Amino acid sequence: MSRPPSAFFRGAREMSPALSLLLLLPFLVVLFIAFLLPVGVLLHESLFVPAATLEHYARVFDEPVYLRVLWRTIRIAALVTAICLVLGYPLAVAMARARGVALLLLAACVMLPLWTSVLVRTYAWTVLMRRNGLINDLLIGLGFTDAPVRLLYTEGAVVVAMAHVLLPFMVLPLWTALRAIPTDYARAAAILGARPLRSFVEVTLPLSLPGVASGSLMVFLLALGFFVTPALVGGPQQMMIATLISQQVRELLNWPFAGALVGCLLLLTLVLVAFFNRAMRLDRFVASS
Amino acid sequence: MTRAGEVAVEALRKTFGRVVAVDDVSLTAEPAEFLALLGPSGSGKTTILMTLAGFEHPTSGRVKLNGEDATWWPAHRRNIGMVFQRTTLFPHMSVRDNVAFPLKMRGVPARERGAQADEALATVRLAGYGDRLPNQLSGGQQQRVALARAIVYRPPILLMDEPLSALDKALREEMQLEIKRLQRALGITVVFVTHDQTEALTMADRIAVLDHGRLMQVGTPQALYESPENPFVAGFIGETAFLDGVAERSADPGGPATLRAADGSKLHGTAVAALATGDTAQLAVRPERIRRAEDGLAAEVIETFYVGAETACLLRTAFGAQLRMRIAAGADVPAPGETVRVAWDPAHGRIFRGGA
Amino acid sequence: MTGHRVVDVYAWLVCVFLMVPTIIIIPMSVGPDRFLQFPPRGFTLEWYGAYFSDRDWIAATLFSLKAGVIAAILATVIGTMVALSLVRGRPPGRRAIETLVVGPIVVPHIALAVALFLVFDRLGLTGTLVGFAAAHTVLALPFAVFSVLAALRRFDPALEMAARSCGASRWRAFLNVTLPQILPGIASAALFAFIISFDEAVVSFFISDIDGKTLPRKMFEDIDYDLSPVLAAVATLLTALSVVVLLAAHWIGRRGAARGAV
Ligand SMILES: Nc1ncnc2c1ncn2[C@@H]1O[C@H](COP(=O)(O)OP(=O)(O)O)[C@@H](O)[C@H]1O
Ligand SMILES: [Mg+2]
Repeated sequence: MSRPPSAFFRGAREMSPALSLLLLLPFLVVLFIAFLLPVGVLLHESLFVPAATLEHYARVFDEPVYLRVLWRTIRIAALVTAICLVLGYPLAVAMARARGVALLLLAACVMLPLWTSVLVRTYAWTVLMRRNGLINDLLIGLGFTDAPVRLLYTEGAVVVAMAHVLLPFMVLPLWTALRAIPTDYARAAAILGARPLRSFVEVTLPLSLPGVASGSLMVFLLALGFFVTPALVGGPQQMMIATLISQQVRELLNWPFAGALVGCLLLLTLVLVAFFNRAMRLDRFVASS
Repeated sequence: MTRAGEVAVEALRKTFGRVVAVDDVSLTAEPAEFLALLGPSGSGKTTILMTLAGFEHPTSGRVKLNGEDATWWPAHRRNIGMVFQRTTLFPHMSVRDNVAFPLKMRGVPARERGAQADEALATVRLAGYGDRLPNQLSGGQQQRVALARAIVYRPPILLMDEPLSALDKALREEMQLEIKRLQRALGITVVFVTHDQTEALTMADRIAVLDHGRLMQVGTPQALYESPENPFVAGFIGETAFLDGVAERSADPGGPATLRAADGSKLHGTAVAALATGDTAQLAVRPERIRRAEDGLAAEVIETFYVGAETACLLRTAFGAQLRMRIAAGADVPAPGETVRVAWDPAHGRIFRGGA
Repeated sequence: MTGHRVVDVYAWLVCVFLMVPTIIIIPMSVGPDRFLQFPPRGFTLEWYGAYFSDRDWIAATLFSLKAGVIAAILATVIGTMVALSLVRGRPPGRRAIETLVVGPIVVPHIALAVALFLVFDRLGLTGTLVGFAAAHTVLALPFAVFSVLAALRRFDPALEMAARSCGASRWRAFLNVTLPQILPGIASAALFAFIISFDEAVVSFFISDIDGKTLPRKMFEDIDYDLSPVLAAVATLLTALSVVVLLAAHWIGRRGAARGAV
């Protein structure tokens, strides 16, 4: 006689713990060698070189220059997140409602930049924002200014270019969240007496909050550690933490201090992720439908 | 003139591209009436309901609510209640807030809202469930909350689109009675979409049968069952055998008529529409009307099925038509292969012109 | 409704903001001026010619291609194994594994880049294909795992059971039934892993050296020091590559959907 059916079904669905571990082995090896170990060595550098000490971390907070960089980084990241939300939410709403060709075009406009090199997009902004670039041409042509304005190497340039680069990371989670809301909810709200705007505020908006949370978290985290765009579009006055880390490593070879800066960045990241994971369990509402 | 609770569509037509979803339907639900829209999937029931609710607008024709032309009113101004097929309880609001939602939209102060919502929950026998979230309720409870939410603001009209189709059979039957009880108690007009004929027969005061976007017949459950006006209705509601033949002589609507089948057998019934001699026609007769008779139509027994209270007998006539007969428990059951003779009261054999 | 109209118009304006900066480079790349002009005054393929005849650019491109292919293969194979283990198995420490999978996304690239620089420098791995392949595999792995996971979750395990009830061994059932069904997921994993590696800029910036540098690193240097119009040509070529990758991904997705529907 063969095995009872339940054992058969479990056998087909599951593999033994040994096999599942074996499948994970290459992953664990690669991640250990090229992820956990290097980060560990760097953090070790920040805490134990020359001897066990917190002096490198203290330095980040003691010297006003570094505090200013840290503060600027957080401020710019928050500003970029806010801009992405304001630009991205209506776009995601339009995408969630669109069908056919319109949807394909909108989705292409979001996906194509996402899969185009950050360098290409940053380069485009350096060309557009140059002294004799297209934006200055436009400003002069429209009569806003007589002489070219300095755009590149300003905080505005950094914020605009970063918002442009990071916008798709905001739109995609928002779109996913909005698309998951059944259209019947808006219909139910309408027939119960809600005007379109009211129905949006009472029903659609709250149900899209998980998307807002994950999109904002994503953009904020990426912005915090962003390197390429601020390095190329911003100047020394707009230095963010990633550029500072790069400078410590490449110009000053100060590994312990660079490690401390990375440690601060990592800590901030992990705290944010942990907080959002605990506080933003809004997805349980959407999961029910 | 306004008549609270009256729902009407006039010459309603709705097309989606080349699909004609609703084709020239005129229909009225009287105040406090329970009207069922019954038809197979794709027959246009939902489209009619969506037009009543204001989510679709007619290609041509009019919608009247409470006697007023409401064709172009936006949904949020129609003041009608609606229960959808799938739950539309807002998942981020408590059950009480869900039920209070329409009151909030109507500017009812917060304190009164809670009391009225609790009262509505009590009428659907869910008192005490107000603080839960919708996903903490069973499917049947969720639809009861949806019902409470649809009636809490006392709309004169309630629309329901297959609200029970996601529930299991026992629960569905319980809810059917409950909805019926509520409708009577509130005196509300209900337009109820279903593809389940038993549900329509059980619940409705009148049933509108739809097929391919066209209205086939409107009437009381009894009228539809006893006097279908066309073969579609005869076949769609209940069980029916169709026997083909040609009219022996002309007949008036409602008058006696006789068909001659392919093998010369005579089939007696009542003409639904006028017949001329030689017209091809069909006679429709229900299994429970067929009895054994010495001088009747000869038919061979193909198979018998024991179904408890009775035995169903599948017969084939000499001219190839199949029909079922019911034999009450205790009576003689013929064996397969045997030939029996059957007949029916001509009043119960309805003859339609045309056919195969 | 007017509200919807307003939202739609706004959405299309945002799309213009998303697309125009990149697209506008394309006409500029065929202009004859040393300083990019819009609209271009004339037409020339000079800058494309300069790119293809420049040894540094070509070396960087080939290096990026090699690193991308190796990283794509490694990330796809390893990622598929991880996804299979997570969906079909009950590995101990599952939560920890899942956290580890998203690790390379959550940890800022600058942190990983500097850490890798430190270690690779000591091990002499900077500027080597091995170093780049390892780093880019780590960066692409989360996306490869997600892609295959999604395909596996769509796949009905009852099909594999049916194959086994027909007498197929577990291995055969996997090869003949499951694998063909999740192949679109694996293919898009490979595609995205390649483009992630090929476009990766931050880690490349740190672990490149004179002899071994990727295309993005080369672009970074040129943008910083010498805004030559060759950059516009390279940017246009990279944008075209993204379009091709995206179309391929779309095609794979549709084939996957069509197959799933059968
Ligand atoms: N939004 C729509 N777009 C295109 N065709 C539709 C749409 N809604 C309904 N239809 C079509 O109209 C016909 C009637 O549909 P419906 O009213 O939903 O039928 P029922 O509710 O009776 O099943 C069907 O053929 C359906 O495919
Ligand atoms: Mg329907």
